Amino acid sequence: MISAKKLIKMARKWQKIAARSRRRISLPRNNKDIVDDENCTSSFVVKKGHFVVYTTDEKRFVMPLAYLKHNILRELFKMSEEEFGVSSDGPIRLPCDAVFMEYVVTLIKRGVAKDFEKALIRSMETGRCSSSASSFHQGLTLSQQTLVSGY
Amino acid sequence: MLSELMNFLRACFRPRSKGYVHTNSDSGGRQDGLLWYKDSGQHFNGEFSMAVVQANNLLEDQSQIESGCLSSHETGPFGTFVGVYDGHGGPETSRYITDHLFQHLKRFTSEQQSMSTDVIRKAFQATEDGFLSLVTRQWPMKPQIAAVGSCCLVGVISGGTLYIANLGDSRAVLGRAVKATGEVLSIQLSSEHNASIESVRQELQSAHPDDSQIVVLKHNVWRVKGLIQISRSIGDVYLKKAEFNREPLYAKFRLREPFKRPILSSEPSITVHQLQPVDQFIIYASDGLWEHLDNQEAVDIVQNHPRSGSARRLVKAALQEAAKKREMRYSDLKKIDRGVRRHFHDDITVIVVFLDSNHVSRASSAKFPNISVRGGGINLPPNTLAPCGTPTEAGNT
Repeated sequence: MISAKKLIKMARKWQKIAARSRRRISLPRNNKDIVDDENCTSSFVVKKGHFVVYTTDEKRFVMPLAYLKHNILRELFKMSEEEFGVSSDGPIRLPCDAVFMEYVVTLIKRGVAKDFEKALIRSMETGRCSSSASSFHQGLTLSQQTLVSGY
Repeated sequence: MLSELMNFLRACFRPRSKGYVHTNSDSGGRQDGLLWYKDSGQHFNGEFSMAVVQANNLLEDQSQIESGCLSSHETGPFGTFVGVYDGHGGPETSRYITDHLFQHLKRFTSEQQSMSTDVIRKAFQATEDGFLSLVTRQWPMKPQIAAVGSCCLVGVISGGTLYIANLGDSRAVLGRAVKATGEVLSIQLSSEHNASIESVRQELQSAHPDDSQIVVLKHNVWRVKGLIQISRSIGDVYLKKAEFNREPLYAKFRLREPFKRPILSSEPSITVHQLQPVDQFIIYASDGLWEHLDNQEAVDIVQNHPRSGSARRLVKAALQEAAKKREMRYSDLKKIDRGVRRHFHDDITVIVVFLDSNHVSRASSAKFPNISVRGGGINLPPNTLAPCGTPTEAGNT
């Protein structure tokens, strides 16, 4: 679990970021996009220069390739590998829910401050280091609730 | 003296980010981004085609084709040796196999004056023993090497006989022509040791009757001790010798209960086939290919196109399939950097060996020059402590 102090610190920074712009995040797309059509997987294929990830609550996120260079996303990929292994027959699934993912996208879009990014990754890592997967998920959910409260 | 020293220092401080491209003098391979390929070459029994695409930050797949004399003596036997080594946990084991297995094989072939399953088995054993000594030596400085291992697929063609030896989940597939229909059918030559296969799980359970947790299903994937998908390998000494399953090895690799018997085996499955004139080619590949293409799809791709570039074509077909599964474009997949690329596909190695029926059973050298080609990639040094290690090793090939 991450410490409350760290959480509050992150939440404060989040509030500042949120205050700067109240614009609502456009992602994710709604579930209608995720039509199950086995015979025509190509219809899923996103526009040029983008890749796709899914969250634990089955939301589909379309992101520009440049996001792959971002540390928070790389950390989520690493956690996905440790949680689920690397899938060989389906899309990439990240071990967080859509609310958290929206938050990550906002951070990336706004060019988050380095120390804040580090704190977030550290909080994610703390969750990952705990032996049980469920407490890891709690860790992410808790941090995201606190962080999103700035809205 | 001084200039030698300067050269040495310069070699040591060479900027590592540029990468070190491993090209053998006679390999003639080409590098295109993370793809390395040699579209066509000549081996003792026909043509070959080779391609490797890197996904891991350090290429974990290694591969080689050695053709000509298969013993330490010039008197033969002659033929073609192919090795595909799919490493995990790091590149150390697969690189070690590339540097040692064929040398052991040549030594045992000279001792016994012929090729046999016994020679191949002994070469595997000597490689496993050698790597264990290396881990024992390096354990005090670099304990994580105990959790590095590799699959090992070997094919040897000698005197009209094909030997296939395998540890892990790489695969060799034969393309055989059916005269009546003109089709070319796929025949799988290797047996695999992946816990996803029921017989492999049964084998593990019967070898460890007192351990109900010998195989564990986690997120729909079977893993030995919840850690690794394959049941046989070179290396992975942390699952073979209990003395390496302790601190300072990372906690995630340490088992709660000490074990008396090795959990993973290093005994290869070896099969012997008499080659026939209808046998057209053999596709050797790491599981990075087979998770996207089935045996017949791969054989059809080779059969329906020119021989040159066959391996590269198979890699491309697998990457296109990987892109489709990830719901993105192939052209975009190719842009992703090594390291993060591993989340989109695995390292993929493919060697296609064509069998020219005029040459398959020939036994004499007939002035065929020995050839030696290693699958390339951006081979960064294995660790930061020895930045000059890889170039020196490459010079020994």
